[in-house]
Amino acid sequence: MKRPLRRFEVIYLAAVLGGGGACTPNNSVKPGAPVLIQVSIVQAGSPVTNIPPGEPACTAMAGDPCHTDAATTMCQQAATSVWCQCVANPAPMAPGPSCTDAGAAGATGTTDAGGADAGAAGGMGGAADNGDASPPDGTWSCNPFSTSSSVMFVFDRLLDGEPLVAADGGTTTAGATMTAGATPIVYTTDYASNGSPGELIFGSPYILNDVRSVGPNIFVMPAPALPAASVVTTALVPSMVLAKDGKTEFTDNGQFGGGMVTFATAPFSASITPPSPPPLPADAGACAAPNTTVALDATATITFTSLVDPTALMSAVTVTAGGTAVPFTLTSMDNLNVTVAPMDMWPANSTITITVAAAATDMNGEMLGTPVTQDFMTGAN
Amino acid sequence: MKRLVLATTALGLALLLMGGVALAQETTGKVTGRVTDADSGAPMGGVTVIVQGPQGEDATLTNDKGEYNFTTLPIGTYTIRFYAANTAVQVEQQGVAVSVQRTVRVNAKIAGTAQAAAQQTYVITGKAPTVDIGSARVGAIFDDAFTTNVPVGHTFGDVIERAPTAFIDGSGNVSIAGATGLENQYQINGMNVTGLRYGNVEMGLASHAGGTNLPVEFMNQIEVSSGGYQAEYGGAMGGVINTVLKSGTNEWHGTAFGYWSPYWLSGNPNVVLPIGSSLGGVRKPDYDDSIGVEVGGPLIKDKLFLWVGFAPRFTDTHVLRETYALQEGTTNGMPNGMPQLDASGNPIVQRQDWTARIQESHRTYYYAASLDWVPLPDNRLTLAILGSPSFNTELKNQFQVDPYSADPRTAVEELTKSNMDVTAHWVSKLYDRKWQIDAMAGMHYEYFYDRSPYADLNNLNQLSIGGANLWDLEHATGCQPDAATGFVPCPVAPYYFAGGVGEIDKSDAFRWSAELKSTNTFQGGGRHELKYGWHLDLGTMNFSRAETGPPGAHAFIFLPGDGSYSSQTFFELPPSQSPVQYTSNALPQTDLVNSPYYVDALQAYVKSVSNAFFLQDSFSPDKLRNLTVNAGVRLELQKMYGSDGSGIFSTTNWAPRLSAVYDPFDDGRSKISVSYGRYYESVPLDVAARYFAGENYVTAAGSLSSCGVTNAYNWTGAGEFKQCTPAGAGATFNGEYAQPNLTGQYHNEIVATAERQIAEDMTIRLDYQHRWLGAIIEDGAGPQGNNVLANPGNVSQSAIDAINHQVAQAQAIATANPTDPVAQANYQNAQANLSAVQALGQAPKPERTYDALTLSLNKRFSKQWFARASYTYSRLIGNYEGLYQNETNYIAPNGTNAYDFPELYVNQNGPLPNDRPSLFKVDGYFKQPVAHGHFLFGLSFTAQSGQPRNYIGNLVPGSPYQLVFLLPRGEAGRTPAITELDAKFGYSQPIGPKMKLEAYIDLFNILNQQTAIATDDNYTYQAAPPIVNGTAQDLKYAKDFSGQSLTQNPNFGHPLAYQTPFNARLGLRLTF
Repeated sequence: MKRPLRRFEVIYLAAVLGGGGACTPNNSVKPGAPVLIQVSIVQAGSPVTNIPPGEPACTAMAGDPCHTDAATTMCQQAATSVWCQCVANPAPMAPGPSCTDAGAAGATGTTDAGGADAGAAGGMGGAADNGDASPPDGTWSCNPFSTSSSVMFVFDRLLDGEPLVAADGGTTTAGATMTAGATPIVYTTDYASNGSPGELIFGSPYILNDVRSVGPNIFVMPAPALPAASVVTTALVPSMVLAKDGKTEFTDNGQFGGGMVTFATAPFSASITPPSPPPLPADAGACAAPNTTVALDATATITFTSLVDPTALMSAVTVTAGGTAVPFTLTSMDNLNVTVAPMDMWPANSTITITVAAAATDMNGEMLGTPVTQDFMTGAN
Repeated sequence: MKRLVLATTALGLALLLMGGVALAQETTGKVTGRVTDADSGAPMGGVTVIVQGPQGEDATLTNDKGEYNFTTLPIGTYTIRFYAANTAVQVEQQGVAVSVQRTVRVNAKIAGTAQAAAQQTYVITGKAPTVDIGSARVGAIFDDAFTTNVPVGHTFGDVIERAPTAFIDGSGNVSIAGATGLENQYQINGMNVTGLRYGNVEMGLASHAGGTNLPVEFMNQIEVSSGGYQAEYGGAMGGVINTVLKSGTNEWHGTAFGYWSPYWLSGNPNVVLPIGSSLGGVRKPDYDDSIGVEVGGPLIKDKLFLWVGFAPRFTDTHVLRETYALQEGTTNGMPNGMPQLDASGNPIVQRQDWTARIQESHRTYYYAASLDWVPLPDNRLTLAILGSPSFNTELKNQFQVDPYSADPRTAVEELTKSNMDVTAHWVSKLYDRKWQIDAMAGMHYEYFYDRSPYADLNNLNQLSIGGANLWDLEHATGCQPDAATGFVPCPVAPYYFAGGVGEIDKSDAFRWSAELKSTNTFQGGGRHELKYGWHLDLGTMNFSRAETGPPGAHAFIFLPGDGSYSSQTFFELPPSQSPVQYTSNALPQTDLVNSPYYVDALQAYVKSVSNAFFLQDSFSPDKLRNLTVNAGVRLELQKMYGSDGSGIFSTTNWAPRLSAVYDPFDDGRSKISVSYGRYYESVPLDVAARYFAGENYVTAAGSLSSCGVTNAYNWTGAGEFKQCTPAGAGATFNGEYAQPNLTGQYHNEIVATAERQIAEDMTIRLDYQHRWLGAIIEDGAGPQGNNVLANPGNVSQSAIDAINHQVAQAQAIATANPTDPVAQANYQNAQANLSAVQALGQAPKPERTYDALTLSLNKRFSKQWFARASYTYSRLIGNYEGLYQNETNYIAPNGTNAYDFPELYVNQNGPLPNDRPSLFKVDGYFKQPVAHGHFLFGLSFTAQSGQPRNYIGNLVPGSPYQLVFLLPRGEAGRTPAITELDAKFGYSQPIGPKMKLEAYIDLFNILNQQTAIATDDNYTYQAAPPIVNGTAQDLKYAKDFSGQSLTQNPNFGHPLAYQTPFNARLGLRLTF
């Protein structure tokens, strides 16, 4: 007859083999509903803007449509529930140093003409920013988003991927909807299982900057772009956003409107940045006249607020020198910033005029409506 | 009265004759016991006890408790005789095996009635006990008989894997009790011969220096301490391998030996064929031969003993690089430009006739000699010299460069290594042997020179060509692209190495050791053996590192195949400049590519000074003499110096040790023991030589067109990069910052053992071993990209305070010198160091927890057979592998990639590469007398769990160095379990009164098992973040950093290496 283990022997064995032992770690996904922990609006070429949890409303004040502080990047307009991005208006520019001041900074003030303030072109001002339409300095604008915006929903744990992919492996809209009132939007969704919200995964400054590596996420992308000047609503479909058990729907713990976000897109507009004249030589002296002409191979940039097709744009852009057409090329890496370069060289000692016609359209067919023009001077051969 | 005179005379004679009783602690063992009256059981004091062994005799008297002790007995087999006073009775115990650092108990009972009888000798017919009742140490001992009769490898480094819990890991060295193979300490005759740069021992690992290894024929005994050892020993987190050379005895003995492993006695090895590449390869043996002789004896009997050994070894192998062309697929019967896939979706390949044979040769000349001088009784001087110069031509295997995807000439290195060790050891016993002094001094030397055997390749830049194919590079037969479809049959993935041989390393390294120890035995409530001492290791390394190329244009060139290039060159900054001036872009890093910064080679002279002090006491209380309590503490102070002579870091390590050993039946045949200890690493010099002296390199990149080169294949390596205009450059600066108040790397350990002699020659033993990490030393990058050496996950507040103080000092200087760029840069640097150390302090705490339960059976040689068997069930779980990183095959002690970037921390916790839950070993031999000789049959069998497998991605696309665990560690399962059966058949025939000749054959891997021992775990070459807590089914939803779905490496999961196939060795041994 076998002698059963005495109690102390059992305890000892358990302590030795289990208590302090090298147990295989529990690397399984924690059970329960996936928690929506971050909702971001991702604009091409701009930093990611995260919707603050808890739906903070914009606190509008007279002349300050998005009264806020530097810590808040977005707020929700109470009347419309539309999210906008809070952008600080530039501080008043200090007068340029006189030519009696040391240094060669004098060129700054004198060459800042035309579209030099193009950084605010995506604001409330609509077409090319002329500065006059901006709110007073020291205040904040509540700006709409680019038509190239996508929405990213980030979760604290892995999801059941099966409902979120197309049966044929192709593109899908599973898991989320994207609408603009009555205007249909062509969009796709994409589920990424990798990333970690608790770690400095590629979003860290260390190596790379991958906005999607902050955790498991569903990315909702317009194809190719959102309609301009529209109010867009993107919402998760709870029945398709499930835990790994395939049954439990996600939760947002009351922080993100149940997984729905509404925001406005900017009107379709364009601005032209002319090429910059070359700087003066270091020994030119403080009172030397700045350069006003550019090199014959210099390039200008047309910045659009909606995605455009540079090829289709050729018919809407003209470049002339004294009324005579000049051959040019249009190229773009991001379909927002289009580079205008001479086919060969710009004519010497000429005024070059770049015009974007009112008939120019973005990828959704939206017309520009108002032509945009910019001149610059070329130097000698 | 006559009997008393007889006993006294015997004692006096023995004292005069005593020879090898005073060797150093590291090479000797102990015998203890008690003599009692067989009738009354009363202790018998004044009994003369004489031990007779290989180097003479020693004697002592029992005390009033009937007890006696012999310490520092040279290892070997002894006869112990007990002469009772007032009687002519002699009791004799034969066959007492004395092993390194073991204590065996031999008790004797002298019959009272016999005391009046005539002079008579009683031989104790029972075998002497073998249980070590003096310590709680776990491990194994291999003596000359084991290495002669069991089929084992050539060197002691090959033998130690036969210890329980030990096996050879990916580093090529032996993992012991969960540690990596770089965490052991190796001693020969008490001298630390561990590799200075990596902490390894020379075991044939390509491209690396190592500690001294010697053939088993030179060794008297090899002891593996896997844990539970006392404060006298330290500097290891794996095991301590304590080996003892043979030594001369009072008779001349020796062996002449030779063996031959011809190619025709080897099986055909499996070919490693990475899917997705057109190159495969296989290494085949040509021969492995050795002849040698070892002989020892008295120069002056009982006074001066000499032993010498010499054994050259010649090994030739060759690697056949073979070409496997992809088969082009068809659509509607027409070639479609795509690879044809099999049913599994893998490309179908066809072997081509285009092969390259790469010849390898190794020539090693082992030598050793020892001289023992006994000028006076109880005083001994031992001198030893040993070494292993070797000259090798072999495939280069550094940083996981796949030798099969490289140009055959580029892949070969000429490697000269030469180790030499010299030791002197003096032992004296004073005051009636109650005080023993050990003094040791020694030198360990390593020379290493690695270059190409082809002079022209030393003068060309090495080229790493991406997107290459064998037709463009070598016009390999059958590899011509399809002109119509553009299909390339012979791509080489991911890179192809051409041009020069690459990095050339040359180093001279020394370790100067000194040791002074004192052992005092005294009574104080029991028997004490108090030991205290000091040990010094001064390690130096003069290290030269260069890329190959023409003078003034040494570089490594990367040509990714997209029309760009990058060059990597070494540089040095003048003292007036600071790295931060470059990292902050105050100065352009592209300047560093050219004069005056560029240098052909980086020179480093680094050193380490280690002082260790220990105090320990072994105490057996009067009322419980079968209990031994060992308590001690060890203080280890290590200071590392960089090339400029300034200190890099210093550690102050306190290592307590406590153990208790209980002999429940007081007969030396069983024990129960438990121990606790803390064990620190001795940091090898590699981290100083590389990160604090030799990693000043700048990578410049630009377009091929800026170099005047139109095609990457036209790049010859003749310094073309000097013609380029780089678009940018990024520099890595040496002089890495080390965290102040660094804690040494250590683990804690608990060992519990129960052992019992269950039969006359057989013991059964159960060991439980639990190890857990405390702190580690590793390097990593901070938010500003600067690298620091720190205690990841364990940075103390005192360290942060010290860095804050440094920042404040730098700030004060910068404030006082606002226009001094160096002062400003140093301030920025101090801030960056603080950020980096803080970041590493927030990293996950390093974990490596080892639990093992080992059941072992030991049958010593008797009745014609010997056997040793062990089964270990263990788990090794954690997020830190140790000094060797298996996934990248990276031998970089304290400088692995584990903590390089936060992106690498995720999913790290799981079964570590050396987690092998089941490990079963049997070794044994049987000797059958036949006529005048005897027949020998030896056997060795191993069964072992496979290695955990992973899903790996890259941090940088295509870079196999910083690896991301896409899924939790171990998620991909394991490689198959491994078994190997080896056998030995021999016949020994006497050919004279003191001479015998033995012929034998060793058969390794009789069953020709060729199981995969490593697989390709790189799931994708894309850079991708990990899937936290994911499983394989989540992989299909993973994206790389640009949002693209992951493309699976077609070779994922396929074997990268197999077991060595069947091979055999024919040998002759003449013993005299």
